[in-house]
Amino acid sequence: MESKNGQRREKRMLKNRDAAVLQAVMNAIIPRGGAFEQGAADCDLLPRANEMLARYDPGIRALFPLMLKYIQYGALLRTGRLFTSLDEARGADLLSAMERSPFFYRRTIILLMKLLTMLSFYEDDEMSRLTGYEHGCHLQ
Amino acid sequence: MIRTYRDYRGDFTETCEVCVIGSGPGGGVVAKELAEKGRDVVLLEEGGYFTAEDWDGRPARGIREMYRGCGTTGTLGNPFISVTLGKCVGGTSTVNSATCFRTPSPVLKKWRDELGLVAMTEDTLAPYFDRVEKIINVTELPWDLLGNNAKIVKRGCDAFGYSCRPLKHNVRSCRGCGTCQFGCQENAKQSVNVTYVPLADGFGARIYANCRAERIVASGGAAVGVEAVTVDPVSGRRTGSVSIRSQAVVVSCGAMITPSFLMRNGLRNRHLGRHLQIHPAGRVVALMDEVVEGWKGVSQGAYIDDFEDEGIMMEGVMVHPSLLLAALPGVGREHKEMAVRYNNLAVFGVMAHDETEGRVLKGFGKKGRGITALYQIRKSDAEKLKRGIAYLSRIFFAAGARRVYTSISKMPVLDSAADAERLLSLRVKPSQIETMAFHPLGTCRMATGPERGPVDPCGESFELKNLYVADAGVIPTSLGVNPQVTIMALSNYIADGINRRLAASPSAHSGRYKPS
Repeated sequence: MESKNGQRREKRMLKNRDAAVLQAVMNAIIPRGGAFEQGAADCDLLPRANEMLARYDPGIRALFPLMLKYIQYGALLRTGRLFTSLDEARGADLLSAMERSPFFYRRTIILLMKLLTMLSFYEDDEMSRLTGYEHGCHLQ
Repeated sequence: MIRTYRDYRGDFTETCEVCVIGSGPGGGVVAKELAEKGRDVVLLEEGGYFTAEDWDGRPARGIREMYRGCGTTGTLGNPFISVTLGKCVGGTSTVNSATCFRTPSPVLKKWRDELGLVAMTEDTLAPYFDRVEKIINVTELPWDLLGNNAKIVKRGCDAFGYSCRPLKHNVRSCRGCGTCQFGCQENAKQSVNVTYVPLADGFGARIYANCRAERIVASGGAAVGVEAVTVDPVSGRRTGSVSIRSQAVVVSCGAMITPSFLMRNGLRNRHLGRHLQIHPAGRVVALMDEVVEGWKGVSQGAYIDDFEDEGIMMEGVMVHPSLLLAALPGVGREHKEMAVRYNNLAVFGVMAHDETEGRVLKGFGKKGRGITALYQIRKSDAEKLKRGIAYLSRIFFAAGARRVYTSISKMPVLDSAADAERLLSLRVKPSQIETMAFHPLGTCRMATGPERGPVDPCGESFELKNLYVADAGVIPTSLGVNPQVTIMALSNYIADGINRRLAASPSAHSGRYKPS
């Protein structure tokens, strides 16, 4: 697919509802404030995530919306509210609990969400510099 | 000239002596060796062709463009194990850490004694190893380039009397920028895309990137060609069709893809896809008081093989913050606390010389493109990983670590050497270890007869004449070390065999070519 300026772009991989859950998950994984101010909400991460999702293994790609639904409605079971209506801190608590789960497929879901979020977030040199990493310093 | 999707205008046909599918450490070597001997070779690669000018060494882009399934390929089992595969000219060699080992002698002995592969001796393979190592320039780097990550582990090893040694790498004029897994920005890594493929090109091979093989054409019990399609690199959709008529077909798609491709082409050997071994790996991350800046230096610097008898190999590995931080515990502000300590983190990996055997299935989805592999890790292999992680934790504490993060969910954080001892005696289930793998092997193993494997020691299929396999799949068992040099040496050996057989029967294919 070509955009107006000639750049190639992928078709949207997630429905609006799933994209909203993914955005909420990303915001919970890297919230604003804390050790550094910027959070996932400060960057437009969904298009970057979409580019990755478009290239995922077909099996994982098919399962991805189900994983998002698991998080969205799992929150409803645990807190009485959908994940998208939780604030970042409560969302992070919920994801943290999943990360410590004894069930490996629950942990795998979080690992996948973290990978997608962090690859998209730290793709910006400005963001990766917050960790002390200096991309391309060897070439200077 | 290496053609890519930009060069394709509609359908086309090719006639050649050998059609090689896949341009990684298997196919790239076969293409170059046969082209050098004067054979007319066509090399097909599903992924794109990238040069140092095309990429920027950033993980997100590298993973998107050069990894199959954006790095999400893996095996199903207890647990899901991520098995990352390259998908570009040069295959996984373009995106690996450039670590080089020859096949260990005990492994070759096992092949001879248990599998009857009597030709697999050190003497037979030595000229192939020499040749490969010369072309890809296998060399030992100075400690300064190996980075602080390796130096810290060496300090810990010295305290116990273990040996921490520099790994050998296939590099030339490496400056240690540490982005090896996302394409070397300086062409320092002598991967197949900068060595064998350009050499094959120079010897007259026609190379087509963004060109996916769909079907092997067979006639009269022999392979007589390949039907392929050119593909758009973003959407993966076909843009044209390619018909190739050849005397021999070499499948080099890697141990995870080749068996399912062959199964979809009607091959039925009962060993096809079986015996999958992957070197399951865990990681240990140490939080140090000192500044590590592990990203300054090669990604994979040193190794410890003192625990080889227990089936454990340890290798350093440092990666970009996005990948390392995702693997560490912590979400939200806890993650951010960890992120600002990235420069204080040191990382080493543990790899098991696995006994577990998994299986690659036919695949699913449209034309079976989704990889399906099963690998139910055995307790004995999980025990190796646990022990390796505990040993490494000890080493890190001896080197001054303040805290150690393991990939074991039952004990993810260790605060002292005493914790490492407790971990050693802890009972850990396979599903409690977050496992990765990078070396799928053995799914199309060479064997003395069809009752023991799908291909003969020269890589030729027992079921379909003139069909060869040359990739990690032919390696009969787990190696316990990084396999790229073994794959390349065996592929060179197979290429010599193909050349001999073509010379012996110049019109080997007697069947008629019938494009669908």
